[in-house]
Amino acid sequence: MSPDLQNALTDFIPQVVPEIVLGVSACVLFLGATFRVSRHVWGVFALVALTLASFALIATIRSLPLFTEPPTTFDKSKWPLYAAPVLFTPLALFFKVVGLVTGFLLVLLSWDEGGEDHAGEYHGCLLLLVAGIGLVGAANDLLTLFLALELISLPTYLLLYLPRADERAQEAAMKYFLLSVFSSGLLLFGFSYLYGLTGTTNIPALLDMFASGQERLAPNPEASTQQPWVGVTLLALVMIVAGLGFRITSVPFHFYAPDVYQGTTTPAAALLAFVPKIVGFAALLRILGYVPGLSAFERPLGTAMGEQVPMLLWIMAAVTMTLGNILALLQDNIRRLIAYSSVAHAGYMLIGLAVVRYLANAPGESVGGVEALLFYLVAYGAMTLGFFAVLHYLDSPDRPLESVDDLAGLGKSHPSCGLLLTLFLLSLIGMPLTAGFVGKFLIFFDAMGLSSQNAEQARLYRILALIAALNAAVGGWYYLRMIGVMYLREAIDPLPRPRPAPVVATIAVCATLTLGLGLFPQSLLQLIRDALPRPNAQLVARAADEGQAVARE
Amino acid sequence: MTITLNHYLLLGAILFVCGAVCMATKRNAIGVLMGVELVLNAATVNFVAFAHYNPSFEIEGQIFAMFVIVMAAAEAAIALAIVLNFYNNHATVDIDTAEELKG
Repeated sequence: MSPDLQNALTDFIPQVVPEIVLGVSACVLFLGATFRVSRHVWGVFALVALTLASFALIATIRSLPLFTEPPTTFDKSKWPLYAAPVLFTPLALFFKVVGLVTGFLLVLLSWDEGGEDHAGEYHGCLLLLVAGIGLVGAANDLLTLFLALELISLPTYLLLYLPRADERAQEAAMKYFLLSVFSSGLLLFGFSYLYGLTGTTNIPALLDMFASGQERLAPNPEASTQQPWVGVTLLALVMIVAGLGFRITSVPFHFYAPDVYQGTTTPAAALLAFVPKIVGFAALLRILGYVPGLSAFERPLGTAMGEQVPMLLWIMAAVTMTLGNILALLQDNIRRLIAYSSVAHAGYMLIGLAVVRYLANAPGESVGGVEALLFYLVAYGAMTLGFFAVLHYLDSPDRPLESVDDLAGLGKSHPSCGLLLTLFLLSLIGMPLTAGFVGKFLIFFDAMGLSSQNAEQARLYRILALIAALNAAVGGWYYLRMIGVMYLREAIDPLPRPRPAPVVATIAVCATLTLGLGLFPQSLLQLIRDALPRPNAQLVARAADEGQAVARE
Repeated sequence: MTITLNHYLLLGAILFVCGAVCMATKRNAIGVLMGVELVLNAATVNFVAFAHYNPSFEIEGQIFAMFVIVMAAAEAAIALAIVLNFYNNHATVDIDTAEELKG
């Protein structure tokens, strides 16, 4: 083992200090919860741990250079990092920050959820989840990526299982668990073929092999030199997209969502609506090589990744949003409705992923698919977490908030809650001045913007934009129906006045983000754009060759 | 007959299909869990076979397999907790009795 490689395997530790802090705190929570039962002690401890992790992240940013590919001057001594299991790229930083903010919001949201005796374990799981989000964003190796995804899945099972032991909650936990494990199996099987085709689990090296058409199914390369293994590559990619499609609730794998959201607690449903989506899209971006500024992006990725996968994403996007919206029309239970709405939103986000390849080569594009996708993710997180937070605030064991009719008269009996729900719903529809509008605008704009290169592609994506616009209109119906029920109908049995709780802080932050991102989208867009450097193609090509050699050493 | 990589890949594929079929058809929660293990192990077989049969490949395959084995154990632990709780509620591990959530 060369000293360079050895350094690459140990140098990454300073990059994951925030995750280490979170992991150690989670262990303290798991251990401590056996000695002391208190909701408030462990809640405060979790907040302190998240604050510490934030400081650790700030210290990391100050002390470590962000690993921006490609380097402005080609410096070979930097490239051993290419082989590191995690890479502290600007995009990883973006996901770490999103993860930490989500962590704060979720801890506050689930402060008084479930039994007091499980509070310690519950918050410990939340911390592990936040660490997992950061690691998925930074993963540079299939193994790290897989383990980071599992670091999110395993605590999620516990979060579904811990708070309530009744039949419905347990059924939801069982359903989610079995399907989630199967999706992990699919993903792993796809990974095994990728490894077999390239001989490496390092993601940049792997993408370079695909870019230069070197993938082979070992062991007799002579027999197959003429034939790059498109079939096996495609099979592997379909399995990976399917495995991650479960997490983002895209269509063939969406059917668990309504049942699980309905059966579990409101905070857990909020978590399921957002966290798996972030990591699913982060992992897809990374494996499909759709991150601008990272290695193989500037070069064609071969037929499988370059042309067939975008087509697959196109179909998934169209079917996902249409089915999600149509089925949401039929729902009466609020959480089932939001589950289908989350399926529909996954469809909109998939458009951003599907156009990435085609916008990459267009010079001077102001907004690429990835920027739009990341903006939409943040906007979606703010409005959905906010919506669930208000529901959770109003919900009480004596008077559960289940069906849309339970919202009747809310505009009069709880004016501020009604107003906030309306804000989040308008944002979910995509009304101007809200974050949801800007997100949808950017995504649709991307799909319309493919003009110059290939007339047929451009037409296809215009059709996709049209489908999305029709869907947005259909979606308006069931969101507006909820607003209508709140303001136009009288309550037969008004909801009780809720007591002040930490969840109010979550609602406030989400409302501020939803409005703020709607009024000043430039601030976040600029941040995202800085996280995605525009690469210099020539340097990328040279760097990739070198890096591949190092990674294989 | 010499055993080649293709045989192992075939074994992996068959294991995967068996696991998937097992998950789809079993009504017993423990049976479904066994299907899950088959699917995970199918991928493990692939990893190890690839790493063994290609001289230019390094030990990533074996390492991946080790991690997957540990992860599968962790998953099984959580699964059993969930199944146990399911049994407390339903007095059976037949997952067809779980039909509260529909819509």
